[in-house]
Amino acid sequence: MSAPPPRRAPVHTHGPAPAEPAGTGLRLSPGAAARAGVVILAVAGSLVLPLWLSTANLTVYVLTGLYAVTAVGLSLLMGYAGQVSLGQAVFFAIGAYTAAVLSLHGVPAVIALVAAPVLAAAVAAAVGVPILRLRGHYLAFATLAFQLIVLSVISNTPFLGGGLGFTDIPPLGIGGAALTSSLGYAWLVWGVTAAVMVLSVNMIRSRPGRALRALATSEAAAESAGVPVVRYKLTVFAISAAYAGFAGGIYVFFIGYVAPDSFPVALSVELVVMVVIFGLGSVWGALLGAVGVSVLVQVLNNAGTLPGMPQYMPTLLSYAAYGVILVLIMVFLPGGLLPAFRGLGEAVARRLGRTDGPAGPGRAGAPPPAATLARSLVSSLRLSPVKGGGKPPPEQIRRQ
Amino acid sequence: MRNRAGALLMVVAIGAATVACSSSSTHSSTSTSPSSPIKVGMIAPLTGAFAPLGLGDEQGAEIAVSQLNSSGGIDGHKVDLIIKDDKTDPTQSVIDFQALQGQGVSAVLGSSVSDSARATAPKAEQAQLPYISLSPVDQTVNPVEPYVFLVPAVTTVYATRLMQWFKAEGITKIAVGYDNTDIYTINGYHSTLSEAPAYGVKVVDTEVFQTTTTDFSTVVSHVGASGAQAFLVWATGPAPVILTKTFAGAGLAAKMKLVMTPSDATTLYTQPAGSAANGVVMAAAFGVIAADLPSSPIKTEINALAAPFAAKYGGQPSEFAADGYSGAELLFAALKQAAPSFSNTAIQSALSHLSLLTPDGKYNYTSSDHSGLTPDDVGVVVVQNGTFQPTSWQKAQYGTLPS
Repeated sequence: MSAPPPRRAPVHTHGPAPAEPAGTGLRLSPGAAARAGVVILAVAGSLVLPLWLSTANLTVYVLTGLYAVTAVGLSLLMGYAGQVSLGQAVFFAIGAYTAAVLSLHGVPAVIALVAAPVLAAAVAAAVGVPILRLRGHYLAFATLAFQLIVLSVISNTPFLGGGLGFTDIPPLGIGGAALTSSLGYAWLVWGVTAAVMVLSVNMIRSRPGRALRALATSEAAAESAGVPVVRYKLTVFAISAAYAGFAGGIYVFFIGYVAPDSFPVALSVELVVMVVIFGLGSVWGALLGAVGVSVLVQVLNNAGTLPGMPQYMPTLLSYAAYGVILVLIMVFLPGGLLPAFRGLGEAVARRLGRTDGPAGPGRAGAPPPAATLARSLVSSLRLSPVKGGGKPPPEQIRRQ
Repeated sequence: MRNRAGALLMVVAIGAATVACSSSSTHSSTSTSPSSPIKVGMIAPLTGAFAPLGLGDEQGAEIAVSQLNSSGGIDGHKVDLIIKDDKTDPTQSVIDFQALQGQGVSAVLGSSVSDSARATAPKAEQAQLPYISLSPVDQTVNPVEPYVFLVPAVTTVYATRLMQWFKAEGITKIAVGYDNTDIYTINGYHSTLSEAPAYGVKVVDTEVFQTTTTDFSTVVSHVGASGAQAFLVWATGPAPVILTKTFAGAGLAAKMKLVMTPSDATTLYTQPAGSAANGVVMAAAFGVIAADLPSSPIKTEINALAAPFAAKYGGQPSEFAADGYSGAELLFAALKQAAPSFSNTAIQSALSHLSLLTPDGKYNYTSSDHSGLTPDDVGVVVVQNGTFQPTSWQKAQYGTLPS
């Protein structure tokens, strides 16, 4: 969002490592090798893990993957292009409805699934033309309003199932083979997650990625440097919608039921939390946020209904405890969890005498966009800004 | 560095997720050794928009369980009720259902959230795990699915009961208002249209609104000009309260009857509506007029819930508590018949031939009727000073009380 400019330009602080070790060629530096090793481990882990999960946890695992795909898209939009969406769940819904309606009308499930991100992206591109001209809170509320409008239209359109929604959605399959097991969905979804991660990381490292980060910092500066600001914003909005739409398409085949109430505004807010909590401006942060928030919600939900818990416990845990945890993170770690962990990791590494290259200027401790976002959202609610907020004058939102 | 830390954390987080989740869902087999408890699952909206419903469901079911266990359980087995919160969210309800399945429950009392019921009932049918739904969704049992049963009456039952009353009162022209974002109210509207002709009732005006509507002045002025003798409203939550006040404020109460359905037969409606609700006629379970009922089997049933409820939680049991209690009683009766096997098929077979009197009425489940209630199980009551009183027509019908 075009909120107050960070002290240090995020172009330097939030990209990939600014200087890859020179002359790596085919030989990987120890750091890169270790990094590749950990990524391989993560991929292998996420593929093997479902074998040990119970059906219920497998469902949580699949949904977490779907939220991760959506959150990574939202992270591109919020963390890199600096545009806030408080209605991202609407593209999840559009994807779900596209897949549901098409497959219920006899279109092969795979084609219906492919159409889901396409239509979501098309809608985003169309809607983006007017609303991406808005900035900051205005854009946030426009996206929120768009979600409410779409849900209301669906509720009142019999062709889209109205308020009743659709059940009996055919299974996802090609020809005679249908995907019915949760395990199959787990592999599909996390495969998609991996593909989306690769795509996103490469996009960020590319020239358009740098341009995006530039426009997040200052649209005027980016535009004067030759970045086609409007086109890039629209493209990243459409890409984030496509991710959400694809996730929504898989969701509807997996759950087998879709209604307007399946995609409340609360889901959009939860997606923003997922993107922000580990630190805005990192697709890994969005992935971790999706995992972290999904797990936290399920753990609190399970804890609230353990035998012997008093009747107020579910309410206490799902509102108070959840809220307090999020507030504490935003107050004490306004940059999100990832920079905090990274700082901790570096401190441990120093203690162990390992040096992993110098902590480049601004690698740790720079106020990342998450802090900026949090501050500007807080100030919009007319509360005092979070610690270290300085003066975040809302006037600056209108700066050119 | 970023990626490495990220990837590492992901592995840690996923690991933590596994530990955290798996610790709360231990697998166990459905076979029951002598004196081991029978596990029964319940999904309820304990948080979210429908939390007041979920609280009632939970309270009612817990009273039924403690009564059963203190009287020796089923065939020597105690019943262990495992409650899950669906957060008024259909996706969470599916997760809860699978978690209960993983914990080896014999049957599930389903959520009172209509979306949850719509999403979860097909999963129960797939899993062939008996599912007793507490949500008033006609589609749950129409068409009949072998493993899915319904506790609240279908909307045709309520519509038919109100048509009987309209006919007795000589009301031939009605206006209908309904919330077009809720399954129950949409079904109610369609049931009204389908039942009306048989009772000589004509729908002269239809008004559509939403759960979140807060201004009913247009609705009320339309209805006032429609020439209707009664205004039947299918709505739930704050909307009917606002509508009632607008209706009373416009002075329509003198001109026509305002008629509501069981989803409003609760203090959640009467308290905020206050004196504006005086004279509002409602279809409702007999539980709300228990004090007025003559001595009868249904009164005994209602008191079997009301007395312990008042002792444990204070006040009158809500319709949701009655649903939770009745659903649990239906399940326990089926479990008793299924003993000693307690297999899914034995419970399913027992449920599909079950006849049982509960506070909600007399259930007669058959293989082609998984709803089981009839219009005689529904009372027609009138609101007076925040309390529910039988209509004079209802008093005349006391001979046909369910027994």
